Amino acid sequence: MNEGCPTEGGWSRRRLLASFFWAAQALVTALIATPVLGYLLAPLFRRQPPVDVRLVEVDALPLDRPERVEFVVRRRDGWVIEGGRRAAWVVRRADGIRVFDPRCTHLGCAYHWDAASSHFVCPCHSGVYDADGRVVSGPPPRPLDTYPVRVEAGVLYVTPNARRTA
Amino acid sequence: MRRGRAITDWLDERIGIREIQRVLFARKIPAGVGWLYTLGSVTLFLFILQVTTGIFMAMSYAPTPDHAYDSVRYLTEEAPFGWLLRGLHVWGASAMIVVVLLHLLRTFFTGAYKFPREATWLSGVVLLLLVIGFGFTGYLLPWNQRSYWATEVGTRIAAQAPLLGPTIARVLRGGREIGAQTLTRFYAVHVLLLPAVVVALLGLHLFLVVRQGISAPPSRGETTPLGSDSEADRSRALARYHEQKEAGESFFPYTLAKDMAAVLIALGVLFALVLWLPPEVGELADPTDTTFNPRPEWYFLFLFQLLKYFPGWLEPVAAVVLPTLGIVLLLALPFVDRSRRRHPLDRRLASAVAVGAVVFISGLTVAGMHSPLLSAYVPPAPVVAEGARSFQTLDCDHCHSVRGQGGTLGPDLALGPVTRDVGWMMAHFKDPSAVVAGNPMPTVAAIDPEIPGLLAYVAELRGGGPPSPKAGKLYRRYCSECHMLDGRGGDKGPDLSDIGSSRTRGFIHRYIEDPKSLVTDSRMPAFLAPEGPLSHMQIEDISRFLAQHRPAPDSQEPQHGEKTP
Repeated sequence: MNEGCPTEGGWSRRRLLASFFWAAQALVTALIATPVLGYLLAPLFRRQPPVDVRLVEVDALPLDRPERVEFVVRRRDGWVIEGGRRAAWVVRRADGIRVFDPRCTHLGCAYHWDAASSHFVCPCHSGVYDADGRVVSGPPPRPLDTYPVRVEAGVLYVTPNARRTA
Repeated sequence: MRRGRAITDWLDERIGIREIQRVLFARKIPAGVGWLYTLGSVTLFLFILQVTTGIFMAMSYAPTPDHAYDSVRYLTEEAPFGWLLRGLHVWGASAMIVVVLLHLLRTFFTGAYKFPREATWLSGVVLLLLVIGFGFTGYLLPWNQRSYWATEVGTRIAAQAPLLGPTIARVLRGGREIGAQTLTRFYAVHVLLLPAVVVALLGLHLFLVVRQGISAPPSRGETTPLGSDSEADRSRALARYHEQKEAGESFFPYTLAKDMAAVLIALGVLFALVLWLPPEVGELADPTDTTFNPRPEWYFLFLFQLLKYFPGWLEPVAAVVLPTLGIVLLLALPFVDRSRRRHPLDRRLASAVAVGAVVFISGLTVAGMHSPLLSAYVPPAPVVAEGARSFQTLDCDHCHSVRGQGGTLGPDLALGPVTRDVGWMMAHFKDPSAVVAGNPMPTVAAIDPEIPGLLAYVAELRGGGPPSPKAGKLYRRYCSECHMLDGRGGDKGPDLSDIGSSRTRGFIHRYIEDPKSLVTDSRMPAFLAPEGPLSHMQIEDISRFLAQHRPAPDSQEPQHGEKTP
């Protein structure tokens, strides 16, 4: 690229071709990179449609004692429609029902209800919550996440997308 | 500027970029190297394109028989830009074969495989075989009918090789039958083994291209020594080439700009092809199907056609012996060709043989393209096929039967016209017990993406939806002269009273449009305008009308136990 050329005409043809080469190179790269990036980054713009799951009959729930309920969510993930097993903690109070996402708000471990201390306890980093999901001690940055709930004809329905508790 | 120089100096001391620049980009190319010499660069570009698109396609691909087809369909129809990536990959594969073959022919006709470039030729021939291997392993991956049957045939051809044939076929398939292990084997070979081998050989090939230099275009009467000639002869030839080379222009930008222009044209052609003929997903592979017309990818059509001319015991000759001889001949070419001439017109016999081979293979390919489809077959629309699979996964046959196969709690879905509206059916699919009381399986629930398929499948089972009130009149006007229906009409063609139980709406539609496309010796004329008198919509109307003609149902739909949704 840095050897001399005898005539001025030679220089300009050389420059022209070199510019063409770089322009064409850039165009080819852009033509291929556009679909590749669009495809690669698509998950950033994809929304998972909410699903509504029939969870349990309200009368079957004990009062004031958290109950772990398992359910199956049929949903589409890419090319697969699968029924995945999921769980949630349901707390029925006199003034309503709350359904907690089963993952600790610290780093996502599965916590459990410790009946002896009447607290939710996370086994990973010892996060502790009360029956209403408020942080009692340990590293969790916020109360337990909840799921939107709906009661219809005595049946509890949830949309199992975790929502931050205000 | 000074900083740029400092960076260059730093890199030069460590990796020697000035030398790389001198050897690769400043090297001289003999004068007269024309557009045909860009084919190698275009091949390299296509390989890079295949690798790039392939890597990203692999992110949406599941190499298992139960998910491969769905994942390819997802990639093609739903993933953003997936259709474009797959389109470029599919058309890129075809383009690769074309360009590689043209590159080989250019090298042959310009005598560029002769001394001192025999090793370049050898590595090139092996690369060609690897490209064909990419094609063979690649088109099983979508796991559609075409993939499945082409691989069935392809591996059986391998099984015909003398002695080791059956063993080879079993190793290729990973067992006796095509299945999960065939797919993973082909996938691993396609995306891991072949690319690794190609990259290594391509490195050698390109190294040799740079080391030996691009051959100067041949002139009439020019001679080149054989590899077995005296050292003096060989040195003289090398010295002469060196002079030709130094009289030329540097690779950058003169040759490279031309290469880049060819690459741009190739990419433009690929985009045009993808937009004009987008990649198809086909239908899910079905080993039990007897109506599919298996056809290989176009670049194997010559072999497909050749097999038709070699009956019985001669078959292995066409399937194995001839292709093997061809490969051996290509590999041995620089050593068996004793001519010192390079210009194609100075070695007329060799040129004539090559032209003959090209004409022969092209002729077989064209004949293969035009070979009649023996099975009268119309594939169902993809959405209908998807609905049929949802019908299975949701266990709809627990309550419903289709033509007598399945449960009896609900009505047989293939009998009678559709009596429910779309709203009722959607509610039923999502929660069967919500609209029909006493349903014992309330947990089966379709989700939104499954609904269109189920609706289409149920509609198709009952003749693709209700015909318009004019359908009967259209039928009487255009069809009853030749066809009997419920005891009335002509007898030139078959009685159609029971047509709905043996033919689908899709089949009837295609048949009315163009009978000979399905049954080559049909005597019925084509009815689709402009050849015939009917529009697409009118034919659809008649097809639905006819598809609903089948024996009266034995039982009516149960009317009891119903709730309003």
